[in-house]
Amino acid sequence: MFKKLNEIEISGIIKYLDKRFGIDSSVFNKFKFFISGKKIWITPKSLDENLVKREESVGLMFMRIEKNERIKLSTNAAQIFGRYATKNVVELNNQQLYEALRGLDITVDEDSTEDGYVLLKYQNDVLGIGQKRGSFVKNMIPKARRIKKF
Amino acid sequence: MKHVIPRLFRERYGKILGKEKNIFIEYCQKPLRKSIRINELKADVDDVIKRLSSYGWKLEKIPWTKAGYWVSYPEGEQVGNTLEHFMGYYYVQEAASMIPPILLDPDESDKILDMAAAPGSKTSQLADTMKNNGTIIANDVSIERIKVLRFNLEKLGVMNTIISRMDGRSFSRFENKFDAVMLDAPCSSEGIIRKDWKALSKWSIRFIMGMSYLQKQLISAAVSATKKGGVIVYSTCTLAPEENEEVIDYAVKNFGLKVEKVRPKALKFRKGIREWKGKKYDKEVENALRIWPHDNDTEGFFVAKLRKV
Repeated sequence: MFKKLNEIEISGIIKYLDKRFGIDSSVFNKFKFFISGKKIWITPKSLDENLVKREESVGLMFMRIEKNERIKLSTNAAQIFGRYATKNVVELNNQQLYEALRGLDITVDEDSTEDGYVLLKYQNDVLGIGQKRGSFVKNMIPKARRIKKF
Repeated sequence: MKHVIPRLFRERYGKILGKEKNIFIEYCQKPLRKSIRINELKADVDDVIKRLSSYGWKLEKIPWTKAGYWVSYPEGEQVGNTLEHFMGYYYVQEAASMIPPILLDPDESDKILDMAAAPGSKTSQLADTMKNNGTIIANDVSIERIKVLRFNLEKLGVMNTIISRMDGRSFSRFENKFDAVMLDAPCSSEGIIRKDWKALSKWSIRFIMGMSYLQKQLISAAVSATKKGGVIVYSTCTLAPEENEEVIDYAVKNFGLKVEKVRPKALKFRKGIREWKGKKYDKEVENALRIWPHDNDTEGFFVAKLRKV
């Protein structure tokens, strides 16, 4: 069952993305959001959600609500909207890219990013999400997306 | 290694192709050229070409497409092992299978039904054309295939899609709901033996007839679900007339559909045939495109654009 989020619920999501990653709220002007269980989905405003009654999914899985009401941006959403981020972006070098795509965790030098969820970026490509604690970044790219022989 | 093609298979297509049969059989046994479609929902075409070229890839434009390319790459590499593939900047898609979304040619505000959508090649191509606007209902009957469909759509950044799991035939209840319907029908898959030889393992006339029966039911549902004046694009990756011209003939005779005369740029094709095994088909059927593997060095394919009048 997919329920459309109201303005107050959407503003909670947008505020989080602004606070955590510095993504401007105007980026989401053309989108609407739905919730199903612990998952939040994003679609263009033009989508007609009333065409079918029993959906398997609506649009793109945007984020997941975790324990303690923490929210985690999905890899696919990070790849699309991560380009608008202005903070908590870990810039990867060639070796770290190799590790990230193979699903390995990453060690980073001291940088300005905070502990918690960070975007993993190589040059202009945002690859996905990692969870940073000190210099250690846990790789959150799903197994099915990794490249074994990169 | 050359595979053995059943005698009956050779005989059937010899009846249509005559002397060309040998070259057809030769192409059935050749490996398929690798092709990709650059995904403009997430990437710029020129940028992706530049990046892949820097790895030593050679890209040749597929002339009937906007962003499709045949590719070759250095030995030892694989088409899916690049950062660009990981990012969803391109999708591995057979060159002929890019034709149906081009013929459907949706508007950005359209409501589209993709009745048998998995694995999502054509759905994502439609979404790309619609610039992620409007609505696509991407349906499939199998939960396993839906997992693959969702994975591919999300990787490619498709957002204008609702995935549903229904028997395609039940869309007959959705009367006049959609501006267009894509019916890439389940089929006997004769056309894809160049990439999957196992497709011939279950080949039989009985299997073809069973598919033909199902396809007629699916196209009936597609007609019902399409608005008056709307479009149905019917395609298969098989060459069997029972699954192609016979299904189009059924739709024309039972529902008064018109088959539009479409001519994709630089695509070599044959007209739909008018007669098979004593059955005569409506003249409209000639407007369908029958694509043999040796015509464009692709898989074997059939596609027709029908208009509900």
